[in-house]
Amino acid sequence: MNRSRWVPSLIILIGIVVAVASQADLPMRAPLVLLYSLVAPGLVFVRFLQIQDRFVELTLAVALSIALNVIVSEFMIFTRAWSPTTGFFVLVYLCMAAALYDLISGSRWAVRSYE
Amino acid sequence: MPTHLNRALENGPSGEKGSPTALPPFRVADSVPTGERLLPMVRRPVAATANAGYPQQLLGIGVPTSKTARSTSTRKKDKAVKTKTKGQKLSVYDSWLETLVPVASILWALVLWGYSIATINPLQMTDLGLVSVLPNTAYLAIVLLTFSFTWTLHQGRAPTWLLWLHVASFVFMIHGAPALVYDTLRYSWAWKHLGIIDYIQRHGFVDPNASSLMIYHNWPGFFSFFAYLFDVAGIKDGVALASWAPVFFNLIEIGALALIFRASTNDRRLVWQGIWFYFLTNWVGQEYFSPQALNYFLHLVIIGICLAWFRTPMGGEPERLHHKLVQPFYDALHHLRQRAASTDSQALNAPAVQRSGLLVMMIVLFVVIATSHQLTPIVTVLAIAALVFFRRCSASSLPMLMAVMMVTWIIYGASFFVRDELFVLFKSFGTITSNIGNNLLDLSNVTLGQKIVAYAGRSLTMAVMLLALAGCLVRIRRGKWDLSLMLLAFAPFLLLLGNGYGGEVVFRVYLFALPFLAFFMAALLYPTIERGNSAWTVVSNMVLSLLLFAGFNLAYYGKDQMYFFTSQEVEASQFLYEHAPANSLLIEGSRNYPSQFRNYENFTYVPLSREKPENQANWLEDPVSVFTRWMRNTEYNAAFLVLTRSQRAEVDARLTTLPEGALNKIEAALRASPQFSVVYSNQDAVIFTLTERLDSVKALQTAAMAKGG
Repeated sequence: MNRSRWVPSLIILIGIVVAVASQADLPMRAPLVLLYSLVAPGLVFVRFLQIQDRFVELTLAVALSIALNVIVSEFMIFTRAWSPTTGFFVLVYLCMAAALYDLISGSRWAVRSYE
Repeated sequence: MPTHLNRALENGPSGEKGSPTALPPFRVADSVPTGERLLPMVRRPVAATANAGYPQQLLGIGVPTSKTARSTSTRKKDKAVKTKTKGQKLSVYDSWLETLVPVASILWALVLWGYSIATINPLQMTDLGLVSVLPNTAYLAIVLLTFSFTWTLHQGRAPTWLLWLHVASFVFMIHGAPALVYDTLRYSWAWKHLGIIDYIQRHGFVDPNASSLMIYHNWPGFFSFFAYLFDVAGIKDGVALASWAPVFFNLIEIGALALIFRASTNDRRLVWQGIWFYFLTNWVGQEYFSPQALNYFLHLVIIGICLAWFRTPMGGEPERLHHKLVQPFYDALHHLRQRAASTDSQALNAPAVQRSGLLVMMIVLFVVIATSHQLTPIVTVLAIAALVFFRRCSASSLPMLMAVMMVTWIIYGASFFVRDELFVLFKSFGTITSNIGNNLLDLSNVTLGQKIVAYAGRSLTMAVMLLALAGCLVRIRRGKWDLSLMLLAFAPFLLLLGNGYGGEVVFRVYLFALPFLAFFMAALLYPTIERGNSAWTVVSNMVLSLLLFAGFNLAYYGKDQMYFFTSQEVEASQFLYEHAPANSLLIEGSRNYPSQFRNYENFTYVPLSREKPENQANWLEDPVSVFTRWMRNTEYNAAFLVLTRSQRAEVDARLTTLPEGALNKIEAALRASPQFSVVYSNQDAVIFTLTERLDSVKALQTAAMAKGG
């Protein structure tokens, strides 16, 4: 499986595991949730930008992940609807949807932009 | 579009799926000794390259192999590099020996460091901080790591991951040491930040009109993020995670710095030397668990994106302004822009969709910065505005958009804070001397150790400035203007016009300018791609790195006698913050102890070290009667006085206006007085209350426990 398929596949798979782990008191809950939250939300979107350098792609992914998490959490405190689990699941579903789209469409999204 | 091209593009940006032969001919950055691509770009076929005439080979992106598309100077450079690397096949780069030796050195350095810090007893620290207890083996580890890095870099063939591993190991050793040695969270402000997170976790919102730590409620992004993350991850106590925050923030900064530097040079030695120098000179300690650390990283990423994807090509003729007075200045400015731009990195031909996506990303990142920190958005706007003004950034409307977003947040989101602080902000605007002066410690009073620490910090700062200036001049002499980086190094200094930022603006200016200063420092060793190949460069690099480390070591670790807290201090604070009733008065020796991390809004705080010096004499003379009067105030449900080891360390180092030994004197007087009772005590902390209010305190606690249980 080439990279264009295994990365979104992995994001979907880990998303499912993390979603389950976040609801249970598993020993790996904290590292799994932290790692997923700090990389996955940004990575699924940065992948669409077709950044060639993996090191830079990861840096941008972490930055965007942090930003998306901050925006979700700020939305919850300003609307006085504090529910971290809901916020987290919104991000997980969003990630999965984007990863699924990535998986189905491959790199055609970017190819269209050249034409 | 030709069929073969379409197929190649379908295989993704790296062409992983198909055979490389399916791609049109590419030539990637011949001028780079390692053959590594330097910029994060979509690999674009010749047919899709809009401006094939641009010297994109300098940028490390795919360019046509046609000789007509390349400048003569570039061909000369290519030839020089090819001659230099003649006879060295790619397999040599990956040979196990060239990789194994640096990896073994790194591992050995880590083992030595680990062994060293395992023997440290932080209670033996003097007023020189952690430096006073670091064993010689720790310095040996640093020397070994530095030598390994300088030698590996000098070879010019090391893979990126190996260079990253050197820098990451240094980060781990320096910033991980406090987490390993101290057991508890270092630095009192990190504890206060945990207190805001605790507030959000308990209430689910912020209180922009809070009486204490109001500023954090007005820029809550960092705190809501971690409150959310702790809740989702099931982290009950964020102390352990916060202890490792400096390592985390520094590690992710490596990527952001690499993005900035790689957009500015095609010499990877310069890129990684700049990163190395950055971590060797970043002594201001803003990478702890704080909004500044998070937003600084986002700021660097925005700058990196601007430099890598939004550079402007050289302009044409200057605009005619038809104004006699302004036109000469404008022409001079245009000349400077053109002169600098002719040697600066050139515009990229990124696809429109990629640039649009990155533009949206920058806006998203800035939304977070604007709502999470007070100072960072100002620096970001200044930096991007400087790039746009000098035509080094094509996103010309971005600074205006960012400024509007920032001001909107200040007016609406942070209105409570601005309303209270507006007068102070206006009063200090433009008073540069006072803004700088308020930041510097008065060295006439402090202990010898703290004098040395302060001088180390100042000397290191001056050395960085001078070395950067020298590096910048060397680059200009070699025909490299680096206008973008010069502007970015200068932009933060405009903050000095604003205000003192609670006595910290000088340090923040240094922090924001440092990446670009570090780049210019590195340029002293590697001014151009053809230079810096002799063994002397390695020797100079080693000596310079170790000298910088000597200053960094003192400046960064020098206040750790105060910044370190024992577990006994933490236990005492935990007892106080968890058991004291709401609306309590809390008198503190100083603010330097693990404070405000639980139920922080339950207290009104009176730090003795911040009382006016003229008042201090009264209660130092007769602490029992003065504190009895204060603590009898019936406006408060209870009143406590807390004294800890770290408070004493700060006062005894004469870093506050209190005289040396003042807290010991107060403790002795209160212990001897029947009017005061000790509600909690251990070897490093003591908490007093009035004996006459002891019963009411107990009753309130019982009531609170009954209500809660």
